[in-house]
Amino acid sequence: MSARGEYRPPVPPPQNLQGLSELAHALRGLLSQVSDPYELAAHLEVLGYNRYRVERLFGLPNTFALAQALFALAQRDFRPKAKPPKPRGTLGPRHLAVALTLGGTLVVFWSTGSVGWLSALFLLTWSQLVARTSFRAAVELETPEAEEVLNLMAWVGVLGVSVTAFLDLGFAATWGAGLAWVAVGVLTLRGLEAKAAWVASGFLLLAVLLRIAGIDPFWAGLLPLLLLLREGHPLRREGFPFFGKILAEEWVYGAYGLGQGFVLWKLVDLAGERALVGLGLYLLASLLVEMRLSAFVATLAKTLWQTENPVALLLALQRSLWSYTFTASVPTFLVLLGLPWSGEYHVPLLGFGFLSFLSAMALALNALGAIHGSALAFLTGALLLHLAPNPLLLGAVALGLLLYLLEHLRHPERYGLYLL
Amino acid sequence: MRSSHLRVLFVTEGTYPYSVGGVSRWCEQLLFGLKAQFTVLALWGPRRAKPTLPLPQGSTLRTLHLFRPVPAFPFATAPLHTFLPALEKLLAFLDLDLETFQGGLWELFLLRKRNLFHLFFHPRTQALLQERLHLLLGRSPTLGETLSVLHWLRSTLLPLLALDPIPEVDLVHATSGGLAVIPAWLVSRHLGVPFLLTEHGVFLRERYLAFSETNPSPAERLVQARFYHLISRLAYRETQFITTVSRFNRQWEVELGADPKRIQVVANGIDPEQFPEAPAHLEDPPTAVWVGRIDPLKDLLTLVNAFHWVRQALPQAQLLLFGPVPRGNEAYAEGVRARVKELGLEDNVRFMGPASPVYQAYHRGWVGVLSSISEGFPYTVIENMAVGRTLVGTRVGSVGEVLEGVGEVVPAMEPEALGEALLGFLKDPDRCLAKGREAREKVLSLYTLRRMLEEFSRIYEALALEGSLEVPE
Repeated sequence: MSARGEYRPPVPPPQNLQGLSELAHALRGLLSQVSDPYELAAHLEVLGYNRYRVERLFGLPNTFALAQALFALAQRDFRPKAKPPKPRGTLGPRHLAVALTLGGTLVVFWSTGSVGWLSALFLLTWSQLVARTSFRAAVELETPEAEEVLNLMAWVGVLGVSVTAFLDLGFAATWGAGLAWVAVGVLTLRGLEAKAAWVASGFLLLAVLLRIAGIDPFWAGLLPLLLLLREGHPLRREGFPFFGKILAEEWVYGAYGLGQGFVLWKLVDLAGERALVGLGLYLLASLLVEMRLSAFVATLAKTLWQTENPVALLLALQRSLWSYTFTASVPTFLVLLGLPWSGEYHVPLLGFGFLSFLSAMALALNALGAIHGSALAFLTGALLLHLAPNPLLLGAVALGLLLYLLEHLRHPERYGLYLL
Repeated sequence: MRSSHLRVLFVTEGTYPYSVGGVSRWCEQLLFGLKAQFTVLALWGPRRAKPTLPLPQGSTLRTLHLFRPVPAFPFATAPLHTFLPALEKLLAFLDLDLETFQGGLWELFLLRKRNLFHLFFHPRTQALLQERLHLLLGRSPTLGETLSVLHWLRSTLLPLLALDPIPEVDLVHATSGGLAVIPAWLVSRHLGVPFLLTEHGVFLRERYLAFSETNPSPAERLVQARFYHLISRLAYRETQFITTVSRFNRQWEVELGADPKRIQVVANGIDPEQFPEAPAHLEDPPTAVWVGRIDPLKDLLTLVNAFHWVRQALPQAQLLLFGPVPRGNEAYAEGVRARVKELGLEDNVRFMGPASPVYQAYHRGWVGVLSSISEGFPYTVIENMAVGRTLVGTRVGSVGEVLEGVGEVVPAMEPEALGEALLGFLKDPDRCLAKGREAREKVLSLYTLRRMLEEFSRIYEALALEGSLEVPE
């Protein structure tokens, strides 16, 4: 037990064996877990077994001797213990906030008929970066500084939306809707999901009223802007270096969002006015995928903690992958099955159907720390759609990403860290 | 005198200058009280923080953030064939082989300028650890266990190796026997300067107790326990001198291999002028005072339960609780309030918030009380004694030694014993005053700041001049 060598006095055997055995029984839970007699000694001291009491009760010289005697009676339990996974993805106010904001956005654009794609690209890039920045800030900074960084990101969002909307088509609608997305995003990241849902419903209501009254949709952005002004603080210098660092280290998140934006743009271009149907299907499918993804990740984490045999581990991982892939591909298959009867809707159905599948694979890869692959897939998909406007190309990219995910999943040693 | 130019690397861990508490206060006293040029090397968590305590003029602060994602590394990755043997030696801590572990730690230190980040998760590194864990657990570790152990090792070790530029110093002083030992020993060996260790609480003991709260997997628990165990043994073997605040700590240190001749108990001290003597009479109602931060380690639930017992015998008795609720302890504080309500003690137990100046809080009591389940050398005890009021404390850390003869000591987590001891004082004001006077005298003779600074000044000088020191017989 000891490294003391010459300083260690001889320890006589305990006198009260019955008492020792009773104590070992009373502490059996602790005894099964402690790593060594010293740990047991620390706990015994806290339980009041000091030198005097140990000598009186057991005839042993000190707590260390009692710990050693008890440790000799311990039945150790080293069975793997599964860490409880933390599932996320059940329906909540944030989903409601997103749905309401989307509704408001559609109402706003419906009245103008022109979509500001520059702002959309900016928002998709910004949203990925702000989520990542917020996560890193929570880990690396104290709460007030992390708040400062989020405040900076909110201002970047407002500024970005304003500039891109100004440069793009339909300034008023784009600016109003863009600010609503910024406000909802920032509130959600601050953990104020219910408030985000209220702002989103306010935005939707305002958009509807403005449309009915035939007023410029520019004013729909006022509510989110007022909220951002009320919640935010003046900009301080402290947040900038951290944001710069995140841009340098985590740019791939921005690339991922940008890739998503380009793919959406090309698909909406291809589908024309019928894009709305495809977009609706895509969003419903995304919700399903997100909920299934959390179960997939939780299963993977549990498997990693519990399974000792490497072959059994790989089999279990494969099972979870196929279960996830099957669920994630259901919306796409349904869309494909409906193609013969889709008539002029076949392009949006095909395009958004494959986009759902591509997103499902990309989200799974992101959860396993391989966002570079997903970003590259989206950028490639956008490029291919630009070169040859055929939605089947997106299916090919999605299939490629599935194969990449399968290969990635074969090496849990590479991504297991992200599931701990 | 050389000490006026003495350059000291002062290594703190989770304390000065970022958080307040007993150890931070001791650090501040030492840094402002000793004539030396300090470089403070603070081991802190992943979050960037602003110092909450001042640094003396001329001193510098460097912070090593543990468990923080490592930034992009400007240097090339170290070759695997140099990293793996070093790691293999380091993993000897799993067999409690100190010599080999030290060798591995030193080799990793020599590789510190190369990028080691990704090598920790190389398949061959994983295979190496799996093999060692298999021997330790008696079964194959799960991949989750292997990865979590590697992750823990990487995020603990890599920040501790990032010591460049290494400051030129004459002495290294680590203020904890835990992770602070690693940079302290490495710098001490690198520069060939003496290494002094001060322990307030026994780090290893506190880590062991923390396992109950964090509930790690068996593999994590075994690995961390053995790692910290060897770190403690490394400290106790390699330091030229150890100061500790209590005889209680000394028992642990000797048990873990420290040479008793190199351990000296240097108790914490206070400036008595900041704690003026309380009036020589006691005002009704009979009052017990607790001062501290509201924290599970202070075991206020036992204190409240004890006071329920006191109230039954002495209905007018009061318990005043002075102190802040630190961030994260709100739920615990609520639990204590709920217990007060549940026992119907709202008229007897009052939450007073932080006291300023703190001596006024001590003046309000007939007797002080401390119900902690773990302590090093609590300042609150000697402050309470310094104003001329006695104390009832639990037998943890140095509390028993300090209160010996001038107060009363009871086992931790025993509300009846604590209540009985409190009642004994609250029913007998003359005893309170008599013991209080003795307590003040004890503080003035043993626990003053001046005496503490003199001791450390002597130890610094002796170590810097002679390189070693022994406690006189």
